[in-house]
Amino acid sequence: MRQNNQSPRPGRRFITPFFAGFGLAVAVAASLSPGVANAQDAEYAAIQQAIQQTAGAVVQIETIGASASQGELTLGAPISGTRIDDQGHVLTSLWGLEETPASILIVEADGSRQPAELVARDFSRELVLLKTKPSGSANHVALQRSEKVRVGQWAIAVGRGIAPETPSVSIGIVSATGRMYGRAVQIDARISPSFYGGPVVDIEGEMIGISVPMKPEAGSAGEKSDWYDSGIAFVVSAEAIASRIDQMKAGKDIRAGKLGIVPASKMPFSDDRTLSAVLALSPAKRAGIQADDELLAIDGEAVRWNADIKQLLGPRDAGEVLKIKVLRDEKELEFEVELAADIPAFRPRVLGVLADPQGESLEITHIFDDSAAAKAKLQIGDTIQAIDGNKIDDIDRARLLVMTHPPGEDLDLTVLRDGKPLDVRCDLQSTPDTVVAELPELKDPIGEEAWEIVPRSLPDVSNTSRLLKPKGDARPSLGLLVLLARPGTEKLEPLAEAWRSEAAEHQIAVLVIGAAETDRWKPAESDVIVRLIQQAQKAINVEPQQVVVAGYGAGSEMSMMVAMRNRELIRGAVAAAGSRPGGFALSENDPASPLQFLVVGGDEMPIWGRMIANVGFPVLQAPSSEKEPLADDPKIQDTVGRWIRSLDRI
Amino acid sequence: MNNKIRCMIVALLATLVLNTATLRAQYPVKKTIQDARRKVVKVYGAGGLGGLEAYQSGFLVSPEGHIATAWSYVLDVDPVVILDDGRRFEAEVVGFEPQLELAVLKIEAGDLPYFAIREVPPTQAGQPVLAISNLFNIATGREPASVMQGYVAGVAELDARSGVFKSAYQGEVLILDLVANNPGAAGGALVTRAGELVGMLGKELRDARSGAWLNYALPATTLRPRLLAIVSGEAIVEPPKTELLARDKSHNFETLGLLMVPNVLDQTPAYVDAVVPKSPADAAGLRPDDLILLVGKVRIENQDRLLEQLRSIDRRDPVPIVLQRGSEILSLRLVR
Repeated sequence: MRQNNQSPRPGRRFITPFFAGFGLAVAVAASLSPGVANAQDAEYAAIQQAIQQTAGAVVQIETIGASASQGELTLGAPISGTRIDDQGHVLTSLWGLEETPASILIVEADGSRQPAELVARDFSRELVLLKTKPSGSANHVALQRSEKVRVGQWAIAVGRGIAPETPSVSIGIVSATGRMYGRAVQIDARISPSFYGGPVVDIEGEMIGISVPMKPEAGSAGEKSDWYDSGIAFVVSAEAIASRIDQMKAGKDIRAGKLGIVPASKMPFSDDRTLSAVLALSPAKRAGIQADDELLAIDGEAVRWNADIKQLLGPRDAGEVLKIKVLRDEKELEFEVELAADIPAFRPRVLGVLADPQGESLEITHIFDDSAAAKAKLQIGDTIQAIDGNKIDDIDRARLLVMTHPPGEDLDLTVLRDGKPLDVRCDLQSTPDTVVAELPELKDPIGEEAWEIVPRSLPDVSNTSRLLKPKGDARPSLGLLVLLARPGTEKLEPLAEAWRSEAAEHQIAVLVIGAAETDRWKPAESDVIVRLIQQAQKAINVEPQQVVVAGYGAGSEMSMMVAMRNRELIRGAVAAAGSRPGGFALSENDPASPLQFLVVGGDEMPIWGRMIANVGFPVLQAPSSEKEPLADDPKIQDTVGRWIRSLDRI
Repeated sequence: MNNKIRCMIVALLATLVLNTATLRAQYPVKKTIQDARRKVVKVYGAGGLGGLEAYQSGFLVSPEGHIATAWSYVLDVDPVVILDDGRRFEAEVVGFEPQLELAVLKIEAGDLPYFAIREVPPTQAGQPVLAISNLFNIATGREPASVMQGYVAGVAELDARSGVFKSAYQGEVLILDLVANNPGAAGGALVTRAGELVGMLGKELRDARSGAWLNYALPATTLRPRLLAIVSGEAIVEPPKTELLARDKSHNFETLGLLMVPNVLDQTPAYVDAVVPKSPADAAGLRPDDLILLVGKVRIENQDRLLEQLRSIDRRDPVPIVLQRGSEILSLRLVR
């Protein structure tokens, strides 16, 4: 095989895309001639050519004084950067630059360093624009492409994060476009953090875009670098960058645009385009969009399925103005909406009633003391028919409309009492910060002796678990308390046994899960826990609003991480006041999958408790003794039981 | 477009596809893989407890049964080697090079296929390569090792002293763009599409800065002289270890006249708080609020790293420092 011994020399841009195309043509022609080795040579030469053309524009980015962990990885290691003009502008990844470090340095191929200032960040696309002294050299990439990116074409990632003096490359193909809700091109080249911020080019040396770690939604749970080196990597397209670069050069940060609507359906391919709620103080609310509107189009693009909503809104920035077309009372209406960077945190509102989730109608079965419902003189037996003029016969819809009701505005209820409709006006409350004291009697309680503890496991992991559940085949509706054992706990049985009377008292199944290792819970075990919960949901009839995770020792921190990262599944987490949670991105409470916390042990609200309360999560506290509150304090156990049962209130 | 032309185009395309397909069949890589797989062996030894795999890979480097592999706990017992055709041998360790984490095993056999240890041109980023190893112990008994394809991502220094990689090996490695370093892959062969040996797959290693798993191979050019020496029966010499010097022999903040900002964070940047008058730091022109970036070639991420670096420099030697002052980068030498 012919060796190309000339190492790439930065700064030589002696080949135009036209010639690169010519090179590719030669490669294709060669592959059809008998000299097959030449095809490989041509391919190799073309790749080398593309690297040489690009490498001069790639620099190393060093940060001083930034260090934090992101799941398995640590921030603060050098990454790559891409020069985009001759005025000293360098694009890089937001990885490690979410907070401004003490110093940002640009390291050139010759090892020289110069300080850079941070000009602007694009929080939606995970990019940062830096500025340093003009380089004087013409080494930069062009953000224009001569043709659209095609799936299947070569994708060559170039970086300098490993060592500044030699460029590193990772080679693959374009896997998809319009990924991550329309914000990224996907490539199959293995991209490790050292490549973040570097360019990805095609075989002709034209920019495809910039490598970044990305999650489906900015600010959603989980680590954006989880997929490093996996053959799934993301690139912000040159086109998306070019259309925003002037804004960034002017020092304006870019954030994902928020509309503030809650689609009724949770299924991506549901053709139900109805909105079940519109967030208070949101752009959608201000524009006049209402719950029950059917979303027809976003900026002229038809919405066919629920999934289209995220796909169409995903690439939009705060400040962009969109036209939203809806169907209301069989009339098409169009609204102009300016997307916002932030919508004030959603804080769930409550009415304070229970209704039978399996019931035919929304008949009120219990009214909590001192609740908005009690003050409005609602009665047990009233059947809710409409909320704010929207007809309601589904408990989840009712809960969502109440939860997202604007603070300071009264809620208008229509109930059926003694066969007659009655209008009631209620002044809603925020979620109370104490656990409800009184609960209604259970309809068909199952005695303690009729509960059994059965082993549960998954075929491919070493974690074991025990499930405390009612015996027999009857499938009563149950809450589910997931308990993560202290790492190194040898016997899980006693932990489940300790909850027997509480389980019977409140009809809550208990799933105790042991850690795989004796000294810690690993973040990756989050998936195992989710799978064990899903497995339990198949075996017993779990009320979706009553799935709660808690833990002992390190299991307490783990339970918070699992809850934060899996909100579509989990509604509550119990955490010890002394625990130090981490491993998740703190993002706002989401009305589509709301989450609450109960802090046990200690008398003081921990700092992290206040932090999560600030972004809209209800955080309740149950003060307790010095004992292990979840293991040997019956009072706390009872509080946890009552809390779980109160989670499906409206 | 009329139908006739359309048919012709379809036919032409089909021929092109067929042509490339038949050409694929004679692709020389196929022969490379056939030959190279016969030279890669499976090594079994100690381990098997607490998440340590009791297996790794190796490759033949002489016709009489010398095998290059990674020096690891697997070799704590006399290892068993299984060739690609399923033949099983008790092997003995005949040499090792702790600095390269290289070991050479010997089995009693002859006339074996092997990788010739010869000069190869230096490898560079973008070079297509094949990695052949028994990763995850997928190949058992008579099954040959697994083959993966990818490219050399770059050439980089593994420098344990700079704390970048916690590895005994220090020197150049080939970073790979394929996920080659998995349990059992260490000691596997990295070859070009023409079948030339260019490296030995390294052990599982994390980048100490980012925590990311690394995919790398030790270049054949580095292994070559040591392999030749061991195969020809030369003795092995232990390399000297670099260590921190004694406190009274090395530099520290006091010897240089540096007062640093209080070290309160786990990553306190190395900011100068004050400079003792007439000290080496003063003479070199250091000022309060300077941020120390490098000592010699070592990156200073935090104050602890700065002290550690100073502790490895003899008091009689000057200390080369690169620092940031506002938006300037300055190089200074501190001399006692």
